[in-house]
Amino acid sequence: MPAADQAARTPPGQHLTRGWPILHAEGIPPFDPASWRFRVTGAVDRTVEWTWDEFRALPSATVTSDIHCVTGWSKLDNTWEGVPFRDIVGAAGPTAAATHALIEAPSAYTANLPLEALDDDDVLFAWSHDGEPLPPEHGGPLRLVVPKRYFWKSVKWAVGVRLLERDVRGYWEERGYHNDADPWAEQRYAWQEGR
Amino acid sequence: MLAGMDARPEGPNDPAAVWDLIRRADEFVKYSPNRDPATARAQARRQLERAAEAASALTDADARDALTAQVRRRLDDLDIDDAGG
Repeated sequence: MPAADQAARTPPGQHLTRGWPILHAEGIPPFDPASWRFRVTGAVDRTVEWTWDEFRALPSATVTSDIHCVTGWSKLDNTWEGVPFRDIVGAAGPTAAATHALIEAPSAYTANLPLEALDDDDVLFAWSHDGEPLPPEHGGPLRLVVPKRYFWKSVKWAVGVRLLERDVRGYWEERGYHNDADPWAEQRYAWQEGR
Repeated sequence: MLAGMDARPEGPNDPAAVWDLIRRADEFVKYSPNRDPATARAQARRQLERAAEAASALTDADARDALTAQVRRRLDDLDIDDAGG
């Protein structure tokens, strides 16, 4: 890729990496396909639950997008396969009052986003990266991918979505990181909010 | 928004400088899967202890309280991790 193209796709304050650094704040949870469940709860018309086999049988989409980590690296051209966020939430039927979502991992880890940010063609619950099963250290068997936000919003080991009628800050958002996390606006830290 | 925080680090008695210490502690934790996690957590804890000391010296009470709470929360997280929780 021409250097000018790479530069145009690299947000301010970021540098490109060809590798894929491993970052997470908690241990990798065990994955048992027989007991794994994914749930959509909260402000929905009906709570929905899938087993691993049921989830994998849902219609999938493939999206190529870039990763931007708040610690400063970006990785371009990642091809993800998974289920569009809007299909998952659509199956549960958000109530008219639903405005935000918390994405949940088996630990206490969560990340929050407004539904309007998640209702996008490139937002997936992905089980595959560059044609291979998503490895556990990168969030396998399933992680959210939200390319337009710093990557901590792309929750690893995702097992649920809780729809909310108001915004509730997630794990890092409660710990001083920016609620919106737009890499192009370099929204890294909470002290930048409201500027 | 963290109270009292409105700028990049300018000096040792600056809220942003304290936040930078906290941020570096976070990176020890975030990158710990690439290293010995116990060593990384110990480095994070030392960084947070430095941040706590720096936060306690801040003259802006709002920033002092907010940053002290952020340090406390992370030390609690590390206590849980170290206990295997």
